[in-house]
Amino acid sequence: MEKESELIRRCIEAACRSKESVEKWRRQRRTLERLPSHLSQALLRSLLRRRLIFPSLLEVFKHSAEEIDLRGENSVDAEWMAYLGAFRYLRSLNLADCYRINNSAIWSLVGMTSLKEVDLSRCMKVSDAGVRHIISISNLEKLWISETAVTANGVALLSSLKNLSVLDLGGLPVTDTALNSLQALTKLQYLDLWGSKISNKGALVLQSFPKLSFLNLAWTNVTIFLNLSSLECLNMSNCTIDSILECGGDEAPFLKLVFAGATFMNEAEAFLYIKTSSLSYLDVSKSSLNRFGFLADMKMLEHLDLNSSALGDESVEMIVCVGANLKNLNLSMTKVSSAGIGILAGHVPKLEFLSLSHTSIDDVALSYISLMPSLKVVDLSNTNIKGFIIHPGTESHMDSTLTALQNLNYLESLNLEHTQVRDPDLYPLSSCKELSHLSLRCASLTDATLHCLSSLPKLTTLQVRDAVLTTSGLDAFSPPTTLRLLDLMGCWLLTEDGISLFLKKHPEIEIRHEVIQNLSTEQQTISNCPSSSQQFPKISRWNRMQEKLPIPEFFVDQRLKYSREELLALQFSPLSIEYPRETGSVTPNLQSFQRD
Amino acid sequence: MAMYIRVKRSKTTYFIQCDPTETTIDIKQKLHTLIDQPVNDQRLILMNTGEILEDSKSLADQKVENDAVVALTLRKDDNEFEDVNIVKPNDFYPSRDADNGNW
Amino acid sequence: MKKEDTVKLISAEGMEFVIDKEAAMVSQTIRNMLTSPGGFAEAEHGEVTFPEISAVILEKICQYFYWSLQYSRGKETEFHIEPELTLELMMAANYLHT
Repeated sequence: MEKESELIRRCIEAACRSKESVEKWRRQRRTLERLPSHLSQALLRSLLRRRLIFPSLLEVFKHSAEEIDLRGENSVDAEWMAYLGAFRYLRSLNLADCYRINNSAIWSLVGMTSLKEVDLSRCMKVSDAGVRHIISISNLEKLWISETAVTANGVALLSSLKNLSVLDLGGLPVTDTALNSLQALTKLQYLDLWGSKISNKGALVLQSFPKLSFLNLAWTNVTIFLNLSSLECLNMSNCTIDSILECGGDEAPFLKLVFAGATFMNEAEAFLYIKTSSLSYLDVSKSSLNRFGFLADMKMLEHLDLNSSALGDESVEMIVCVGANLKNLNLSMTKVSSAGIGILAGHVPKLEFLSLSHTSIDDVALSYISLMPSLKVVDLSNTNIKGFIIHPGTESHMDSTLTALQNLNYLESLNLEHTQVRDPDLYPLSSCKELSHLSLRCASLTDATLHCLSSLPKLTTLQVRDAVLTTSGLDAFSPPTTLRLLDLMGCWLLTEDGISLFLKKHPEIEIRHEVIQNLSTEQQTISNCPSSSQQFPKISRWNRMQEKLPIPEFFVDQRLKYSREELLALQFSPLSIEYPRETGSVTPNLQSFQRD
Repeated sequence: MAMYIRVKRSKTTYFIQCDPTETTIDIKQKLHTLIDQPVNDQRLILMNTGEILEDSKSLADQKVENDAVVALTLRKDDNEFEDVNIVKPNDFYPSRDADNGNW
Repeated sequence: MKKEDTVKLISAEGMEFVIDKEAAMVSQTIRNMLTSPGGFAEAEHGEVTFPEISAVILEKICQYFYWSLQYSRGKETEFHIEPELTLELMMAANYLHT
């Protein structure tokens, strides 16, 4: 899409300033009819963001909008749909996560011949009756109905949508029989069947889709690694793989393979018979693999995820073989140590993202990491990094090992959470000119940390969690002008007053802290006034996200738990508290993979 | 350029870049190059006050600010100045949008 | 200020706006008309007619050109847009690549 010009941006802003502004233009019917679709859509997006849209206002866009994205808008219901049904030129409608959408709401879509794409992902009230409405949109090319209430019978009905090229049935109880009835969909290129009831018998049916290039079979009982000739991306995460099916003469030119959490019954064969020379994306995290010789042929690999695999230093040589093109490497929760990183150094010239969290690497690894010239994002959280090395014999002299990171000219993001770095060790970071995100979480960090980071010219996000920051330290902190988010969760010495004072001085910065819940409620009340309505949607959105953040249970009574002496002692002791591990989402989160 | 003013006569608007320290005569000189009328035959009137601008005074002194609208009138054959005549767009066309609620 | 350095923009109703070329160049569309070699009749006569743009909107556009010049030279003022003009102005801005 064309980039909006400055004047257009200003017009949209002026049009969406308040309810009154909207009233000034909403009756300019002839102008609205002539509005180019990209302007109409930009205006609608802005109205949504400002919470100024209501069903009958939708009507003004009915002659102009071609694509409408209402993802996650929880007010969208049958009344909205009734208006949307009159949109003559609508080509794409995204209703994902609109939880009020039900079968009767979808009835409005019946006969919308212009519609090519409909996304109903996670509209849980949509069932087979809804599918009956959808199949009346005979030109439909892309349909997403993952995690709805549609059953195998409903899926079978889709066979009449002959133009479908994208079909997302993720999380639906699709059976072999239902899949069998979809064979008429010969234009299908993208099929998502994660979590379905498909067995090997059904999987064999997939051979009859001549154009299928993307297939997701994660969390199914399929055990055959389908080597279909058209297939480029295959996801078999959390499957047990016991055999490989060769289909046709041409070997599949796989670009992307995801076997996260998969169990390989016959490891030696797994990658033996498939052509992996063009593979650019491989995810074998949490899989059962424990030999990695297969990597050697994957010369085009850019993204390699070995997170929580059995990889150890002895297999790092295999990564070196394919290091030339690697951009993204995840080795977190592996047995790799500093020695392994030493083997890797100098062989990954293009590596931009490196995760080593939850490994046993220590400060020695930092000097090797500094030899990876393209690094932008480095995760060193939950490692044995201390930030200094004591040279034998000169116990008073300690070099800060973070100095090595100064060699990384492109370093934008650094995570040192749950390491043992202390204030003085952080000083070298103040000359990392490109650093925009920094995460720290350690009970031995104090006000001095803030001080030494205030000179970072591009810092936008700073997390200093669970640290012994004081109100006066926060008051004395002069943040970089670029800073937008300061996360101080768990800094239990900070008071509400101290934080409000800081917010007053730096209104452009958002603070996250346990006491901020109260503060942001106040802010929201103020923002409801028309004068500052501009900030309102942003804050309300943040609040919604924050509500989901769990507040650590130990927070509330920490002040009561320790005496002053104990607290002072804590300042110099290594980590004594076992932190709850930050877990990622447990459900098969395949979103990013599906939509690529 | 510190500012500009909008000089209007009949159906034409001239956007003139200027400085608050410039005098009315400076503006008339600029107009001269655009419309071929000698400065003596030009009269400028600040629209929001209706005051005639004096040649020797600066724009700032006469409260002529950025984006100000100034009417231009010319000397007629009888040596008198014509009346202010600025055509409003609506004199040409009725409101473009019938449903704008103007009638 | 020379006559050659100005350009006349004419609205749908025939209203005329004489502005500096420098200001008109804020619009990519007008810039192309005035600078493309061999190009448009507009370049020769120093006149461009916009049959789709009303006088009210064209004047606002010209004001924006000058505001934009001032802004690029460090003068920080708001550019006020009346809400009833937003739709038409947006379409004109889209057409003029402003």
